[in-house]
Amino acid sequence: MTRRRRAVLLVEMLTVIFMLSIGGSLMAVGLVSIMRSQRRVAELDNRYAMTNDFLRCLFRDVRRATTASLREGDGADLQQVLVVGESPRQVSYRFYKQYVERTAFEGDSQAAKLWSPMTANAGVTPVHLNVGNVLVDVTVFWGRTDAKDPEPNRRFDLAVRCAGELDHDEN
Amino acid sequence: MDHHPPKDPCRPGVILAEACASIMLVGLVLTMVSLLLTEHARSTDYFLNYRRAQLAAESCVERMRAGVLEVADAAFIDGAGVAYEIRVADADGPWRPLRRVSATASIVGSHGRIARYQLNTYLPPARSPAGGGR
Repeated sequence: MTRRRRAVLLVEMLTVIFMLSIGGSLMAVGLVSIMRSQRRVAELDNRYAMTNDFLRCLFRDVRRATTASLREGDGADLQQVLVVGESPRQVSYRFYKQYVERTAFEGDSQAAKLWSPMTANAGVTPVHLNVGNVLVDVTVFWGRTDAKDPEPNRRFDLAVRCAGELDHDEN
Repeated sequence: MDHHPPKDPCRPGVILAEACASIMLVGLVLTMVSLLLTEHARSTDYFLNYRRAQLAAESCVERMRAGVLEVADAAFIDGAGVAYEIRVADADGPWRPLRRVSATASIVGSHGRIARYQLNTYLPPARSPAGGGR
C-alpha cells in the first residue's frame, strides 16, 4: 500500500513538474514576444510619424512657394541647404548627416523645427514646361532601428512641384 | 459495500495541480496575445510599405506632370525596389485634351505581402520629356 502511494505521489509530482515547465516556458515565450512586438511597433510607429511629419511639412512649404533652390553644405556635418520660397516668407531646410532642421522666416519672427534622427537627401529639377518653376525631390532614408526591423532600408520618396501654373499651349 | 472516504479538496497535491493548470492557462493566453501582437507588427510593416507605395505613386504622377517622366505606358523598378506601372488610356474622352493616366506603385514586403497603391489622374499629353525614367 505504501509503495503504491509512493508511486502515485511520484506520478503526481512528475505531472506537476511537467505542467510547471510547459506553463513557465509558455509564459516566458509569450512575455518576451509581447515585449519585443510592442517595442517594435512603438519604434516603427514613432519613426514613421516623424518621417510623415517631415514629408507633410515639406510638401506644404513647397506647394506654397513659387521657387526653390538647393546648395551644397560645408562638406562636414551640413550636407545640403534647401531654400523654399522668397523673402519675407522663406523657409530653409538644412540637411545634416543625422538630422534635418527647418527654419521659417515670417517677417521678423523665426520658427525652427528639428527632425532627429533622420537622414534625407534633396534634389531640385527645373521644370522645362514652366520657366522658373522647379520640382523638388526628397528621399528619406530609413536606417536600421533598435527594434528588429524586417526591412531596415526603407526609402520614402517625395516629389512635389512648386506652385505655379503650367502652360497648356497644345491643342 | 465499501465506503471510500471523500477526497479532501484541500490536499496539497490538488492545490498544486490547480496552480500549475492556472500557470499553463496564463502561459497559453500570453502566447496567443504575443501571436496577435506579432500580427500587429506585421500589419505595421505593411502600413509602412503602403505609405511608401502611396508616396511613390504620387511622386510618379508629379514627375509626369512636370515633364520629368514621359506620359506613356511603362513598367519599371526604381533604386528602392518600388515597381511602377503606368497606363495611359488611348481612347479619346470628354476630358480631352487631357489624357487619363493610371500610375501603380507596388512594394513586396518581407513576408511576401504586396503593398500596392494606384493613382488615377488626368494629365496633358507627352511633351518632349527631359528624361525617360528615374
